[in-house]
Amino acid sequence: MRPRRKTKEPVKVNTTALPDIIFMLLFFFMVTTVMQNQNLHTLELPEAYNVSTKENTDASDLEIYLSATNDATAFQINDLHSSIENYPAVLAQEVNRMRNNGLYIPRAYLYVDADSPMSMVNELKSELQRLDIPRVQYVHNLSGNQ
Amino acid sequence: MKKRRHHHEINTGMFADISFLLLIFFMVVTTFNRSYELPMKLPPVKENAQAAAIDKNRVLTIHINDLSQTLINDELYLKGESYSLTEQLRRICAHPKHGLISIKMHPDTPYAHYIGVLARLKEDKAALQQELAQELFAKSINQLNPEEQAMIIAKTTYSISEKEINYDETTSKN
Repeated sequence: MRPRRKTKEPVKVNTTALPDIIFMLLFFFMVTTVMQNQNLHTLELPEAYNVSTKENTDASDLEIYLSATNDATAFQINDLHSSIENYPAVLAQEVNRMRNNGLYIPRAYLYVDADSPMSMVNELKSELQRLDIPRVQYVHNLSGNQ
Repeated sequence: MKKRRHHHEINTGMFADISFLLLIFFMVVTTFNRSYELPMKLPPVKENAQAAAIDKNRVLTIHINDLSQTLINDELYLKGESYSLTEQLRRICAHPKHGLISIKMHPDTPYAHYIGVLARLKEDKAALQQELAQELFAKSINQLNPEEQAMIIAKTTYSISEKEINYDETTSKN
């Protein structure tokens, strides 16, 4: 017996609910995701008398950008721009401003162009020493063969 | 038998879902291009400080000249030539006082070379620590208990000097 031939009619599936399902899944994963290193349930910090000299101060790192290549010379500290020539003054001014606002400066992050000469970097380091910011962090990218 | 071609309309209702799926996929797999830091603590400023004379056996000298050639204890390495400092670090860290590394660079040396030297020191120090852990405890550094790890770290401590070093002539003779 020859099977009865179906009449071809496109079946329309109602897809309007799909975005809602996707959103639901997205929210579900967003809510349930636990980021790494946050699996401590509660932390009760120990108590101590205030022995810190940094009372009522906040800490803020210094970000210093320096480029002294043949193509471009530029200096930036936090959001302040300066020319290479008078950067020590701008640096000292910004550090003093931060300290006057009660900010403690734990570290200086140095973003220095790879082609900058060492003399510039050493000068910048001496400035930081003079301003009593001993901890510097040389920011770099990861290279493949190092 | 020839089929009759129907002109179907494409259902675009799924496009939104596909894009959501892609969005979520990329959100999950994206890693941001983060940068890394090499920390260093600068010494305090001392006016007219008299540097103590230093035993030459404590010191590893790394000099970079204006041709970007590296001299390690006066042994020349050409530009781009790779070298290892593990053995030298072992030598200077074995000194009763901790080791001292003297880095001197030509003023025009690119900053990248300096970072290269610091990264090399860090890497070779890790290699030396691994070797010492094998020799002393026959274990990998990660398997050591905190006391043993502290011992290894104490045996691989050095400081970096970027100033002129005043050598003690009496000890360097023998």
